[in-house]
Amino acid sequence: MLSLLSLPEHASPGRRVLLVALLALLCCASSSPARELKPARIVVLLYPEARLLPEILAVEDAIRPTLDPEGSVNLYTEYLDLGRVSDGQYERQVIAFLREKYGKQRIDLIMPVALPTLRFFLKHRAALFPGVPAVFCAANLDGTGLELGSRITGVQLPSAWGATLDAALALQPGTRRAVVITGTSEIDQAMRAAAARDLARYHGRVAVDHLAGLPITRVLDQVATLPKDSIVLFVSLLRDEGGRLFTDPEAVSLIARASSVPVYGWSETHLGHGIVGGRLASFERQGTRAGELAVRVLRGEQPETLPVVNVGGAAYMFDDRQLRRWGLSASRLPAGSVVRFEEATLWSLYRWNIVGAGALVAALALLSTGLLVERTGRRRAELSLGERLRFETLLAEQAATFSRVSGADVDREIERALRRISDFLAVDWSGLTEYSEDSQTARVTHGWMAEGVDPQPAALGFDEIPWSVTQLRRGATVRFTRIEDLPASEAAVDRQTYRRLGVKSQVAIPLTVEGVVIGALAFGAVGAERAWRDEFVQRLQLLGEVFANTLARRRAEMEGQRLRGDLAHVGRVATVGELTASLAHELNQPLTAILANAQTARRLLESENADLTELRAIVGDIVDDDKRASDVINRLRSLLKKGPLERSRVDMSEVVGQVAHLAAGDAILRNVATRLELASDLPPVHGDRVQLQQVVLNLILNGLDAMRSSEAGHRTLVLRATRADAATVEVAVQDSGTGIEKSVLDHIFDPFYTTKADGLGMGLAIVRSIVEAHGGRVSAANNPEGGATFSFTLPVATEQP
Amino acid sequence: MIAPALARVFVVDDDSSVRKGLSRLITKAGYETETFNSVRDFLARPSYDGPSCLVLDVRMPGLTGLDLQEALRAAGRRLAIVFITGWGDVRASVAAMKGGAVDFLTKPLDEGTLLAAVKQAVARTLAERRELARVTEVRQRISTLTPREAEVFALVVTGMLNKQIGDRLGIVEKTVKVHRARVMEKMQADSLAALVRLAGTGGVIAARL
Repeated sequence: MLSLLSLPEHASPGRRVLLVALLALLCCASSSPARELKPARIVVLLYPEARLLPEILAVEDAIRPTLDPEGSVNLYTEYLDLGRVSDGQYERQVIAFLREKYGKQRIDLIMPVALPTLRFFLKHRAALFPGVPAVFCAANLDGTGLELGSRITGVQLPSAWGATLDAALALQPGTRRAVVITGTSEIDQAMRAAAARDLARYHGRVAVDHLAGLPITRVLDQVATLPKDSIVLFVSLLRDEGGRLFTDPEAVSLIARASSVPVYGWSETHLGHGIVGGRLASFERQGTRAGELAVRVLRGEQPETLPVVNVGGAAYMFDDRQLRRWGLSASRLPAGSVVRFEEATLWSLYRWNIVGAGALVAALALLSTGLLVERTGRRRAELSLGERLRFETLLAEQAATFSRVSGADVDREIERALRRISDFLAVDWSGLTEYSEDSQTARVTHGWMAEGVDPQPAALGFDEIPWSVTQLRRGATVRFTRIEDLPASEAAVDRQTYRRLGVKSQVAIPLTVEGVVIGALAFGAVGAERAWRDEFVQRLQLLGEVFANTLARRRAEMEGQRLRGDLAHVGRVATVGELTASLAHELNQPLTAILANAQTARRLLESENADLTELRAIVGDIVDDDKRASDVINRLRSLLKKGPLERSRVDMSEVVGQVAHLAAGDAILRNVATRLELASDLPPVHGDRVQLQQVVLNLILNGLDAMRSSEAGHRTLVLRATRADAATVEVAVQDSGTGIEKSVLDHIFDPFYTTKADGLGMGLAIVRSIVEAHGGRVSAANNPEGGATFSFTLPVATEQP
Repeated sequence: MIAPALARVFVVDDDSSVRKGLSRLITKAGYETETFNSVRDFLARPSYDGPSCLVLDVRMPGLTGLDLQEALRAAGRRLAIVFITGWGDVRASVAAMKGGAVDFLTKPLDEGTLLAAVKQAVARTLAERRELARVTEVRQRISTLTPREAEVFALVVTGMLNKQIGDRLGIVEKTVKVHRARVMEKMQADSLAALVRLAGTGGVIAARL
């Protein structure tokens, strides 16, 4: 490669100086010249799991800003997956990996998180990080007998099951039994031991049963049938006996849903997932305190001089919804308890004021409404980590759903997604709008509204919200908590429109397809103002991308279908109607063979010594192919023939076979695989062959049409002719299409009833009239595995007419 | 003989009468023919290095002719295709021609049109393979150059003088001359003009520097 740094030897001195200066500038550009350059400090965070558990997220969220407000620390994280350390080879590999990665670096601080990590660190410290100071957190040393050694301090997380059990006994004085749930991971086992120690002093008052090391299904069965005098203490279930992995919120949700008695927990991450509450530890505080210690060590303080900090169950916290569910009285909660998820009502908050002070009622109501709004607003702003994770999960589910949703289901899935996300965000309405350049409007294509919310208009002119549309078209998100947040002069018209519509707060995200903004995804509030947090808006922008991609994909699919539809239509309008394409195929094959053979024969005849044997073979083939072509014509003629009915004995297997042959080209053109299941010993029916062919043909064409929007490769048409019973023959045409809607099913054989854009609604009506004229019955039903089956019966012909 | 001796025509069509008729006609015109009733059957056949072409039906149950065209392209097999179809499918013909088909003929096939297309297709298969062999050979030669020689090569073919090249690369003119001689030798070029042509054929030089 040509080096940028090689200077031309003959460059003039002036140019050379300039070049050197430029290079110097280039070299410095990456660092700020104003600040003195200090090498970045290196801190390694060690986590016990291979997964991003909510607790780990909380610790890291708190450590980062505390430890490194200026960005002068390089924070490395290692997820050690210590559950696998019992596998000696894995442990050796981890050690080799850490040595390889960090051996040559000057590490300033190690931060092991949780007890198993601390154990691992202490065991291998001398070999891996000799002399490097350490600050641990989220580890409970009680009863472990662990020797910390030198140059280490940290934050303890003592368990507080005593405090939680005390609170539970106050809420449920009749409690005689506590069921402790733990799993099989390293952390699960350590926590079981700690809980057992805490609970030992209740011996004689409360029996403690351990549900330890069971598969989750067994755990759920057991908690579902606990007697009323029990409570469940959720300790830890990161892995069950079957090896299934859970996060605490997942396990808590499952157990709390199944449990016949209240469930108590120990971490803030459990609250909101079904626990009543307890003395709950805050991993955020663990992280913050550990970060503070780490800063002091990095500044040069000796770890030995910094005592280990105890930050146990930080606060009594309870879930109002769970207290109500179990009929537990909030008045029995320990002093200073925090109650979350209250469904506050004016009455419950201010009933004494309202009852007592008649004249003040109106004023107070106003005031309390204000308070309530503020309170709700704050609660929304302070979404717990658990809720954030649930939101992530919800969005991930949507992304997964939309990655496989097919054209026909897009609308339904979008509406479903809007409903679920709106529910979660507690907004009043949400919707997708599409921009139309022709009409200069933003039209709502999918919408959702909370109950009792007035419908939003189906479309807005660009001139009604000009500023918003301009912003969105530039790809910018438009969000406001109150209308006053919008620029006063530029968005004056927008402000007016939103006021008129009663919109208080809104966030709108552009939907971009191939660089063009095609519309917007919007969430709004009409009841009260609300804030939109950055992290949610970012997530919603991702959702916007998912929607945009889905709509783009559907557009492409529809375009393709329309083109195919157009071609099919071109074929339809030709003289012989629906079968042109098929006939062209059917006739062209023998004609091609005939022409090729005839031209070969001519060549042979022109040569000196024509091989008569070969000529004879060729002419024989020509005759055969010609017969084949005229068969096609005959079949068609018999279909088109008008005239008096000719009743005769007809073999329905033969009829179905013939018509299937005729429609084979159509099936191939539409990528449909056709399967025939024709009974060979079918008794004849008595009827008009041509009309019965017509019936079968109509059903086949109907089946082919039904699979238009099915995925190519999954289009199968099964044609059956069977003996239903001694006196009845049944013919069925089964497709793998979209099936028939219930509301349509009753009318599907009615004249002029059609679900097709280009249908006349006569095909199936003709089927019914012919079949009924033959003494038979028609029916249509959806198949359990998808698609529909149309069938008809005909009476078996009596011996001699 | 109308056609080049021993050129082989592969006929793929799901209709046995059509296969038989076409193969007779094409054989009589002086080609060897092989017939297949599906794309799968054809793909199961080992690839053929001699002069050849493919007469391919568009619509067949299972994999279509367009699928086969795509599969051959993806596998880097150079085999010119004459498509035949029973129905004037505009979209399929556009797709086929975009995919490099020699022709797209509607059944029934006129003898003259078909044989002209076959002749052209065989010629194209040969030409494409010769071109591919030439490019491969030149690229092989380029790969024997040292990185420095490749740099010199790239600069020489832009018309730079040895002195300029030396300045650019930070080496003395004499060294450039030595490299240049090695490049001419390794690339088997007897003149600057020949070298420039080889660089064009190789097509990779500009991309590499």
